[in-house]
Amino acid sequence: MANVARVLVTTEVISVSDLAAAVRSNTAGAIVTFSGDVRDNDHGREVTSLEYEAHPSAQGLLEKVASEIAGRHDVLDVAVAHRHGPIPIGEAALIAAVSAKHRKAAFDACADLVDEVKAQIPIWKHQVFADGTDEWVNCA
Amino acid sequence: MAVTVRLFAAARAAAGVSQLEVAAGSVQGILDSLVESHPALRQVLPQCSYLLDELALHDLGSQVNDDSTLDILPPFAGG
Repeated sequence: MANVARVLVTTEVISVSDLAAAVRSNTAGAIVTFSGDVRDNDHGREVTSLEYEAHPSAQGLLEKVASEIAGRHDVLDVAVAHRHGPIPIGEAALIAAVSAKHRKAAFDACADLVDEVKAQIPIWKHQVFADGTDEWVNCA
Repeated sequence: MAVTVRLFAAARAAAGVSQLEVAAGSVQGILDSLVESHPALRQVLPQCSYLLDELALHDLGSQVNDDSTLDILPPFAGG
């Protein structure tokens, strides 16, 4: 069973280097990180601003997902952070970091972690387009 | 004595409020009354999931009692 090094739902800036440092150890031969960044376009339309909203249970559920990932992959440490509130274009909304003895398990666990966060964590994304229209993503 | 309904994201935007007090009843009955008072919810609710006192709810026939909290959650879009 791997260790859950850090789980964070926050309105503060989150950083890949912080999460990578949280999973680093002398027994790890591989660290895989993922940074999900706010982009200035969606489905070919220009996005001018974006905001995430988190349900009060998001922190606890993110801890549960991180524990599940730690339990089903041959990895050493798992860390994940999701930012909410308004996030400027180009900054990270979701960061995952996994360390393992070997790269394959770290890649697999990191991808699994990101997929599970997207599926299970009650966080919503509202984007405003250059033409003044807006949408809640996945809720057409 | 009432049921507290909390609306999030697109559901809050459609209703124009983040929290409402409604009479106790079945989940479906409460949702029907919400659509009546806030018609824009009609488009959003079929996509939503629900928490009753913080637990996932799968049966819309479930009874919601006074002092309970029903959360309306649109499809997640984290990451």
